[in-house]
Formats: sequence, structure tokens, C-alpha cells
Amino acid sequence: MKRRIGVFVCHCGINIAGVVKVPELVERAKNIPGVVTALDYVYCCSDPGQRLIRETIQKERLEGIVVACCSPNLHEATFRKAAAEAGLNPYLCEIANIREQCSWVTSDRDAATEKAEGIVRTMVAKVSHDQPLVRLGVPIVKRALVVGAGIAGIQAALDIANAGYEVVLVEKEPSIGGHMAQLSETFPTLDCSQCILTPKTVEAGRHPKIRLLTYSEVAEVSGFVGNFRVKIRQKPRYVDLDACTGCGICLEKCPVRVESVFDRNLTRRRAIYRLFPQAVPNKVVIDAQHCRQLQGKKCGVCAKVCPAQAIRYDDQERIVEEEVGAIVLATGYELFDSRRLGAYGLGVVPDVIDSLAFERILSASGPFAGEVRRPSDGRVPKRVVFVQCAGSRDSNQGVPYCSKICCMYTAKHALLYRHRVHDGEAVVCYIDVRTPGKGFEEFYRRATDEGVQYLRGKVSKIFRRGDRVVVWAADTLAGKKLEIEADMVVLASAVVPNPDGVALARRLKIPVDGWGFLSEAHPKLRPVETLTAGFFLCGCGQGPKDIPETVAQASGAAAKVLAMFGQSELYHEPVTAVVDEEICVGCGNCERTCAYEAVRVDPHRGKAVVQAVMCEGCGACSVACPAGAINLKNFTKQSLTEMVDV
Amino acid sequence: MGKIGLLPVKDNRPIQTLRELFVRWLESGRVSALLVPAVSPAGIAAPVLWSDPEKASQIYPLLPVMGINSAGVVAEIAADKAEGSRLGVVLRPCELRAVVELIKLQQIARDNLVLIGVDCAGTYKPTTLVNELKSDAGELENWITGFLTAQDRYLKDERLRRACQLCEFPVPLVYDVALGFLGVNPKEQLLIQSASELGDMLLSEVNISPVAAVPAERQVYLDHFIQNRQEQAVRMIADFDRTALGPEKLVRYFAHCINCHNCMKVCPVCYCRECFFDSEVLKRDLDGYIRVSRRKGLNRMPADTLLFHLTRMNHMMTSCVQCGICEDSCPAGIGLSVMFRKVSREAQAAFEYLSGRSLEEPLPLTTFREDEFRQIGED
Repeated sequence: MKRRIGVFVCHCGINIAGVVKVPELVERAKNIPGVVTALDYVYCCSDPGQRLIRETIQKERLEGIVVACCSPNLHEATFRKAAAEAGLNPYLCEIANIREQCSWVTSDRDAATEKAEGIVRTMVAKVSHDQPLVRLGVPIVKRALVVGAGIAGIQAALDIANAGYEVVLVEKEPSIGGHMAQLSETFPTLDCSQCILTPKTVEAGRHPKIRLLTYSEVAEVSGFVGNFRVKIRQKPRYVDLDACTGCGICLEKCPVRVESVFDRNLTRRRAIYRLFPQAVPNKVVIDAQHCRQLQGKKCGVCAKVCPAQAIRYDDQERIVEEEVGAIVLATGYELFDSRRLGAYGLGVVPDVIDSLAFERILSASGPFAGEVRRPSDGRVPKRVVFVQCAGSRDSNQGVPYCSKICCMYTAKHALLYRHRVHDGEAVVCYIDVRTPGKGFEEFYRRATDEGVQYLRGKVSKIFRRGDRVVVWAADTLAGKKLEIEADMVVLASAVVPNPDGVALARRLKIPVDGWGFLSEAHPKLRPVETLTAGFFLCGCGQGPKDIPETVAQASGAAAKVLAMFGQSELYHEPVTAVVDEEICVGCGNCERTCAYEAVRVDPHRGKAVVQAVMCEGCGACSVACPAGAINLKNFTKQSLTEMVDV
Repeated sequence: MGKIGLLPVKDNRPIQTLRELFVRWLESGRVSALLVPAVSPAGIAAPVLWSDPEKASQIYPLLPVMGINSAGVVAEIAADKAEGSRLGVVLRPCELRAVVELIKLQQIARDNLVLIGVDCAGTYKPTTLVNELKSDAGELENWITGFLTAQDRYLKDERLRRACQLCEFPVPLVYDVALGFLGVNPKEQLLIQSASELGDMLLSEVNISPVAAVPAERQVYLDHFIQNRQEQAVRMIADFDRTALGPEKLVRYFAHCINCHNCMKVCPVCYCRECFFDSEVLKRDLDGYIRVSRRKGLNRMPADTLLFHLTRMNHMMTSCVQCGICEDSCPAGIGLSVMFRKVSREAQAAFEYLSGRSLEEPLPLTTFREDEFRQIGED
């Protein structure tokens, strides 16, 4: 008995009907064996279009339908839902893509009609073989893991925790806060970064629903959406977090001084240190690499002076295991190492610094308590050159993309410098000034109005002359080459993804782009999801962005997590791989091919076993199996063969 | 790990020397039984599963006859781990390479095996040597010894199986113990090598004169041998290219296939339990066949023979060990050995892989490498 199949041809306005001869296609479809009715409608996805489909299913007692329309990526869900409402199993509804794969790629009406018929025939063959399927229900662990506690991770964690769900917030540094804790003021409003950040860090630190794991890294993630098992490596801190009161006596007594990475090497900290004064948790940590005691030399001063007896030289690395249902990756950014731009002299010429170093100089908690001074001799610089695109938009030596935030923070840098050094001269060398953002153009105008000079042209060389820094620049608007003698140069280094975040993403098989930025599931419609179910993303780990955009994206990711936690259980697509044990010989090709670790060969029985909830239905195993023993549901060899052979 | 020595040969009888060696390992219990070439008193050459030392006279290690690739037998009898037994398998290089592939494909359990590799200068089909095999035991042994020492004869012997005429792997690649006769004067001594702890142990039970390295004259001879075979391969592949390259010629090359699937059945690395082409998937009902016929006007029957060969080639090319047993089994005389030699070696080279070279090398089709095939469209 052939199934009773209905075909619905959508005009998609003129997108399809302008090329494919729809009335002719409908007539041809009626002649396909099994097809009992074929209809067309101008927009099948509209309400009346869906109603037509529902009513026809019931009137004609259809046992399968093919909707010939746009890509299944767009409306497969719509039509399957309509089919389900009419009492048909949704997996007995198939899409024949006659738009992207047909009408959009030719203007030859006859050929397009011919091809459209072929596509419809193919899908009629498929739906004739399709089995009714039921979505798989999976329980959800309603706890979330947030990786990275910069402003993105903190915001996502707070949003999820404030909705009543537990969050494990993991940060590799000894304090949360991320790069925002290093910044002075923020563009375009010039609020103090610390002042707007600390309420968030304090709230995250004290939140009863947030388990904070600082100085920790995600070691391993297993399981699947809704049911992840996470191993977190807690690095030895050598300080008992419960005992330490953060009094800071040890910080004064420690005899070792090393350059502070937090202060971009402009100051020196002790071997026992606190990342910054407002650190959360406000506890110290010992840098084992530089601690005399831990390097086997005689010392032990911090233990002697600590009134709380919180020092633990025998501290060990610990593995913390957590179960979570969703994971938010907020792994953040790093600055491009502009030392690689040899002509710009960073690291060689004194008083050439990068933008984060200048943030520290501007910061009240920075090396000069907020006064602008040169790192080399502490003098107040009278002329500062700001070099934009130091690595950005440079396919040869840097990265080809625009780092997006540099134009605005450079305007801010120049402005803040002028505010603090009234007789100082601020010169910005730029290629283009890009100000698409609320209040950005106005802010840039303010900088020029307040006397910041903008020179359009790329800087070719930066070198030392006496105690000054010489910049070879160009003014392409005036058509002149320029030599500027300055006291200090600030490079607006490109934003690159944090390398630890990239390594983590690669370990977790989360796709990244060519530069290591996390790839979203869809660049427009699914911007905070990854292609791996249960993993969400936000912040600069996904791409360069400013603070408000980061916070908005973090809240977006949190909303996605909460939408998931709001369900009683998760549903998994039933189009998963199944093994024909009669044929399977246990060679393991499927296991080695599966990117989701959803298939493994049972060592005792020598047969492949699929864990359906982990299977994403990609079909790679099916291709790798020479015997055809593993197949996707509704993509069996039989149905594929008939689809080809219609 | 890894010893080299020379095994003295008594009375100019290398075959007898190896029989005695294997008897010692059987008697010491190092191996429970051996899969080894034999010739029955009736003159039938086939591998046997040998456990009784009394029957040693029927055993002919180094017999240059190949009717099957014994790796298939190993997969048949040693697929799963055994409790107490240990099977010694005396195999030619191509058979060993197939065993290595099957171990990687989880079709043979390595743990129970002692891999004993032997040099191979080429083999005949059993039917080519009917007279020699029927002669009495002493004459057969003399004939084999003569073959082993007739160094340049087998390089030019056109009666050898075609796959052997272009084979450049005369020595085992992966083994516990390897036994060599090429370039060492096998009337006086054989080369014996170990490549594992188990192999070391087996060697320690035998009186051998240890040497520091493979004798130089053997290496010189092997180079000469391989160069000769490579030149032969170039000639045979050039002939193949002339007759088979291009879609039209390829169709003609397979034209007389009778769809018996013998090539698939005898292939040692074609390991599926049920071939896709033996399943119901491609079968149509009569309406379906008529529909296909109508589309073309006429349709060759049995259908899909070319699709079968192309799919088999696609499935087998990365694990094919170029033993050529498929060609020997083809009743239509299709030149499969040269074709597979060309296709599989080129495909494997594209993945920097060689079938049977190592147990560690991952199978290319299930290994993802980001830098693979960069040259396509990315100059």
C-alpha cells in the first residue's frame, strides 16, 4: 500500500513563482506515484497557508506531506508543527527546497520547473519511507557553569543566579573582574570603570546561588546538553581562602618583587599578592614561581606575619567536579602582542606602550595614582602620539579585522590625557575613525573640539632619539609625510581572543573562526548559542565589542540558559543514528568519526552502541561504515537510494 | 627490545631448520598452535593450523605458493581475545600487513597472536605448480630451496602471480619475529629478528649467533630487489593506464564482471559481515527495474556492477595491501591487482599512510586533519 501523500507548492511571492512554472509543477506533482493531491499557495508559511495544509491533511486523510518551498532551515519547523496540529506525525512532513536550490540559481523557467519536479519527486520518495518519530525527552540539571568572570561572565552568572538557579563561576585569575578591572574611565560617558564594576563583582562574590571558583580552570567536560559533568582544576593558592582576612600585612613583608602583569609590567608586586585592591575574593595568593619558600629557599616570612595563620605552603592542586545543564563561555580577549610589529618599537623603545598599559597609567590605582607620567623617567609627557590600528586591519603582520573598540578608547585616552595635562598635545594617527554607536560620534567630536589632533595616515616607524620618541607618520589629507617628536606613544593594539579560551574551545570541540573567536550557531539569528547544544557564548571571546554590548550579550546568553531551565525536560531531535547489530562488525569507524562522542563499540559484544541524546544526527558515522550498519533514522540506505533513483 | 641473529642451517635444508625451530616453540608451549603453509601428501598446498610436532614433515614454511591471503583466516579464528591459547601465525609481508589493518579495524585481537613474518620473493598460484607440489617430499623441499637461492630467477619469472611481480615489500614490516632468507645465503643461515618482548623471549630459546645489524650484503640485495620490482611496477602501471584510464576505458576494464563478488569474498581487508551490495538496498521491484530501463532504453544486467567495483575501491583503498588475491579469484580475468596497486598506493600516499606499516598509525578515513588536501583550490 502506497502512502497517501500531499504536495504543497509555495510561490514565495515571486521568489519561486517568478521562475518555476508553479501550475505546471502542481500538475506534474499529481502524477508522482503516491501523490493524491497537489496544491499551490502564494505564501505557505502564512497563517492561511498553514491552515490550507492542515485542512488538506485532514480532508484527504494524508499520511505524508511535501512542502515545496524555501530551505528547511527556515520553515521546516513551521510546517512540521502545522502537520502535527492536523494529527500527522511531524516527521512525515518533508521540505523540497525549490527556492535556494532551484529558483534562485537560474532564470531558465523550463529548466527550473524540470528541476523543481525532480526535487519534489526526491522528497516524495523520502516521505514514502519516513517513519513516524517521537522526540526524546532528556532531564535537565538546572545549574549552569560560566567560564570566565570578566564583565561578561559576571553578568551572565548574576542573571542566571537572580532567576533562582545555581551557577558555578570559574575564573583563571585569582580575582574576578577581568579586563574591565584594569580600565580607568569608560567611553563615551567617562564613568569610572572600577566604580561601575565593583557592585557587580561584590554581588557575584556574595551571591548565595553563585559558587565562585577563582584561580581555576575547566579541565574536562563530558556528557551532553542538560547533563554535563565538568572537572575543574583549582590551582594551589597556598593561602587558605576561609582563613585569609585580606588584611594585607603579608603584602608589605614579602621580600620578593616581580613585575605586575595586571599593571602591564609598569609596577612591581610581591610574590604574595592581591590582583588589585578591590579584588573579589579579597584574598591573597602566592605566585609559586617567584616565592622564595616554594622555590626551596629560606623565607617563610608571610606565614610568620599572618595573624590569621592562613598560609599553606603544602597546598595542592585540586579537581572539583560539578554537574551542570548549560555552559556559558565568556573567555574574553587579550591584546595582540604589538611587539610583533617590529617597526613600532614596543618593548624596545622606552615610552612606547600599549593601550592597556595607558589604562593603568590613567587609573587611580595605577602606577602613578592617575597622573599621566612616562614609565621610563616619571616625567609628565608634553606630547603623546596615539597610534590606531596597531595590528588591526593589517593582513600582513597583524589581523585583518577591525577591533571595533580602539577608535573610541583612543578618543577617550586623548581626551583624558588632555584633561590631566592641560598644556599637553595629543595627536591621533588613524586610518579611519569609526563611530557607529550611541553617543560615539558626539564623543569623537568632543575630542576634536577639545583640541585632540587627528592625522589621517598609517604610522610607518617609531624609534628613539635622545630621550624622545620619534614617529614617522603621514597626513594623507594634506599629502605630507610627517615626523613627530613625542614624549610617549600609545599603541591601540588589536583585540585577539584569549589564548586559554581558544585552547579550551578546541578541547571542547566548540567551533572557532580562523582567529580563534568562538563561532556562534548563526551569525544573525542565533548569536549567543554555539553549534554544540548546551554551550552558549558572550563577550569578547566571540569577537571584539565594548562593555554595553558585552553586557547585553551576556544577558542574552543568560536568557537562553534560563529558557532552557524553564522547561521540565529537554527534547532531543529523534533523527539519530541506529545500529543494525546483525551487520555491525564492531570495526569502530563510527566511533572514531563521531565528533560528539555519541557512538562507541561495546568491547564485550563487539557492536557499536549509540547514545541517542548525544547524537546530533550529522550522519558522519553512516558514511564511515562500509557495511551500512549504522544509519540515521529516516535517512536509511533504502530511502536515500530511492531518493537518488526517482 | 629487538634482537638480530643468524640461525645456522644444517645440511643445506632451510625448510627443515625452520620446522625444527617451530617444533621447539610448540614444545616449549610458547605457542599453542601455528598457522603455517603446508603441503599434504596428496600435493595440496594450503595453510594449516598445526599443533602436533609429529606432523612437521608436511610443514613448508617459505613455500612460494599463495592460494589465499591467510590474514582472512586469522580474522576468522582469532577475532576475539582467548583465555589460554596463543596462536603463532607464519605470514608473508602482505598477509602481515593485512593482519595489521584488521587489528586496527578491531577484527583481530592482537593479544593472542605471535606474529612470525617471513621474507617473500614472490608466489605462484597453486595451479601453476601442480607438478612440483605432487612430487615427493624430498624433491619438493629441494625445489623450494632451489627457488629461495635462485636470486635473480624470481625477479624475471613471469609465472609468478602478477601482484608479486610488482611487489616492493619482500620483508615483514610489523612482527614479533621475522625470518629472512633474502641476501643471506639460506643454505647456510637464515636471518632471525625480534621486534617485541615476546619476540625477544622466543629468540632466547634458540641457538643463534647474535649480530649487531642486518648484514650489509642483505641490504644491498634488498635494494637491488626492490628497485627491480619498482621498475616492473612502473611498466605494468603504464600498461594499465593505457588500457583503463578515463571513464570510458574504465567501464571497458570492468566490462566482463559477472557480479560474482569473489573479489570481495577473498579480500582479507574487506571485512564487512554483509556487503551492502549483497543486501536488499539496491534491489528494486519489477516496476522499478522497468522504470530504470525506460529511462535509458536499455540497461545492462546484472545491474550496478561498475558501482560495486567503484564502491569497493573506495572502501578498500586505504587498507588494501596489494596482495592481488582478488585478481586470482576473478573468473572474468579482470586485472584487479595492478589497478589496486595504483589506486590504493596513490590514495594512501595522499594521506601519508601505508597500509600495514604500523599498528599505531591511525586509519586515515577516520582521522581529521585540518591541513589535509590544502593544495586543492588553495595554491
